[in-house]
Amino acid sequence: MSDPDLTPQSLILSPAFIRLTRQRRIIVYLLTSLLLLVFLGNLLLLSIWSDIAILKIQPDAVLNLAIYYSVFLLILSVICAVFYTWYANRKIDPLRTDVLSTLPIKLDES
Amino acid sequence: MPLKLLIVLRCMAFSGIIFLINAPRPAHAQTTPDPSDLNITAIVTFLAFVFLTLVITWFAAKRIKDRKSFYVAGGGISAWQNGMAIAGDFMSAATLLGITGLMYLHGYDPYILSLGVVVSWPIMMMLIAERFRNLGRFTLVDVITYRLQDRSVRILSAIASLFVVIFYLIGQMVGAGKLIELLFGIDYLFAVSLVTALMMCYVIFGGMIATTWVQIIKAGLLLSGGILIVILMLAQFDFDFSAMLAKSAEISPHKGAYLQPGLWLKNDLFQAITVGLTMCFGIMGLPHILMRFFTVKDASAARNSVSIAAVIMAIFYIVILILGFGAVAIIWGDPRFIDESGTVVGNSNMIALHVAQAVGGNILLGYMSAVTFATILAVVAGLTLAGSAAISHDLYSIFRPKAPKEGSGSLLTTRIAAGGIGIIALILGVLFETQNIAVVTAIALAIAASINFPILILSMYWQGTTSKGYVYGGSITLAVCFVLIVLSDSVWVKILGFETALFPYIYPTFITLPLGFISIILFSILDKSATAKKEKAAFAAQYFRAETGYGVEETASH
Repeated sequence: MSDPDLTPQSLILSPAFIRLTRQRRIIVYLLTSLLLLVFLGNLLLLSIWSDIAILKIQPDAVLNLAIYYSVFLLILSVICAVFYTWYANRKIDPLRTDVLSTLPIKLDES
Repeated sequence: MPLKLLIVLRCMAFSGIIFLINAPRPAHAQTTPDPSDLNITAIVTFLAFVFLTLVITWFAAKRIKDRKSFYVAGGGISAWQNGMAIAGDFMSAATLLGITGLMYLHGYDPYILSLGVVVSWPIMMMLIAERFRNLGRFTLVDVITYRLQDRSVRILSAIASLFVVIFYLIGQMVGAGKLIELLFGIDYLFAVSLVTALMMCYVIFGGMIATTWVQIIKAGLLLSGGILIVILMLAQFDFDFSAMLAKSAEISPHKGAYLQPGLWLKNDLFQAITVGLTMCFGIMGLPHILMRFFTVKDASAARNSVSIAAVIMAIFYIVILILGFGAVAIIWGDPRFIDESGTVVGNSNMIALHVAQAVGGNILLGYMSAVTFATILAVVAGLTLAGSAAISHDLYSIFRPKAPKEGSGSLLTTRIAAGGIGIIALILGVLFETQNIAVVTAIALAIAASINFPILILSMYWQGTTSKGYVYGGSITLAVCFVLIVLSDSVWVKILGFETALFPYIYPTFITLPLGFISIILFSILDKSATAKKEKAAFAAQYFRAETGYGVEETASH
């Protein structure tokens, strides 16, 4: 590497890189937590919340809350996947390009 | 005639001959073979699939010049192709037949097996896919050893990967043999030999290119077949899903409870959590799935492919939901599918195919039977490829460090490894014929969730991870995992013959997954060696590359 100041340690402290990781971290941790919480809700409905799981939206309805919840979880997963892809393509990739544009071809990894 | 073409044609002839000798027929008729039971649709669909995939293999073989083209298709698979192939990996016979059968018997609870997979995909995309693609080249071990370069790390990771692949493969082979025996009346040994011959042909000659295309074709066939069955099912109820479910609940012996939680997991919190954790996090540690992230050109394409896979799988799992719940309404009480004692003809795994026959006659049954066979072939091909990579790329390089890394020498090694895995799968498939395949599948998923997933996350996200931490923590978790599986109902009661299981849960994951994380963290903190300091210092470079993909092309030398 030609520039002795350009080390991995200095790079991960650069404003552009911090902006990239912060942007990614917020969306990733938010969506992951949301999905895991909703999934945990499904596991609880299967076990200790089974009284709630059998509730019906209307008195004469066939479908219960557990089935609606499962379909909701399925749709939520797809929405999260598609939304993250859209967000990363639109917001994160340009930030990554910004970081890379300031770098030489090869980086000393010591 | 070129040797490769000759072998491809022989594979096709072999499969065709066995198939024609053992004429496919409806499952219920297999005890009384009758030429009138010949299912032409199954034969035509199957032979068309074999022909098409072997032609693809032949073309793929011409494009394989080095290890990169063999293992990861040279990184030249597009995002949508990879998305279809990833979805294909999960639209397995176990999912279509297993979950549908379980839902027929136990109602709502088994659907959690599908939901665990569906939830895992976006999480995998956000937490793992991009970093994984940026850090590795061919395998899971590449990523783990990016910073943790101790020899013992490579050995333990490769062994854990190999365990997962082999046990998963045994489960698929035994399931395939039994299923094909049941579906087509082919002898078990012939069935597993046929699967092995075709899978070895795909992998040895076509590598990842052929394996990917086999998955894509199969995913398309299976999805279209599944959607057609569901449309035909709903048509019987004027496309009223509620009416179909009401009939299922009305005629099921469980009555209203059929649509409610509790019939399978008995409302047990720990049982629900351990099944959920295994499905959700086990998927994220499966080597043959993770390997697919290297088949696309960059991290962005890996992300897009997972997104496409998530959409396709969601459609498929809605098909499973309708199929599983509606099966009772369609086939209950039909003497063609339910015998005199009230049990399902064949076994509960046949439910999806019985429904296909009930709504679409022998044509749809034949089509779905052939697609099921294709499904098994595609999944075992992917597993064999991952297994051969673990041997020839991860393990062989440790014991033969001077072995050629590129060129025909290295390709020969990888092909021999693929052939070896195929033969091992065949032998173990025969040896495990009478064993409970739930055990081997449990071992595979539990190891993936308890060893591969924690180390993957910790090595990529936590600076403090060290080689010693992983080796000690990983080894303890692996040992505990095996012990708990032996003490569980699947081995302690069903194989060893004891009255009650000492460990009462299906999977050990709710203990071993946290244990994996805690033990690796603990031993890493206690590791004060010079190597540990060096590994911690190397985190910044790894972190930067993982986030930006900087220098990814140079991974070739990694």
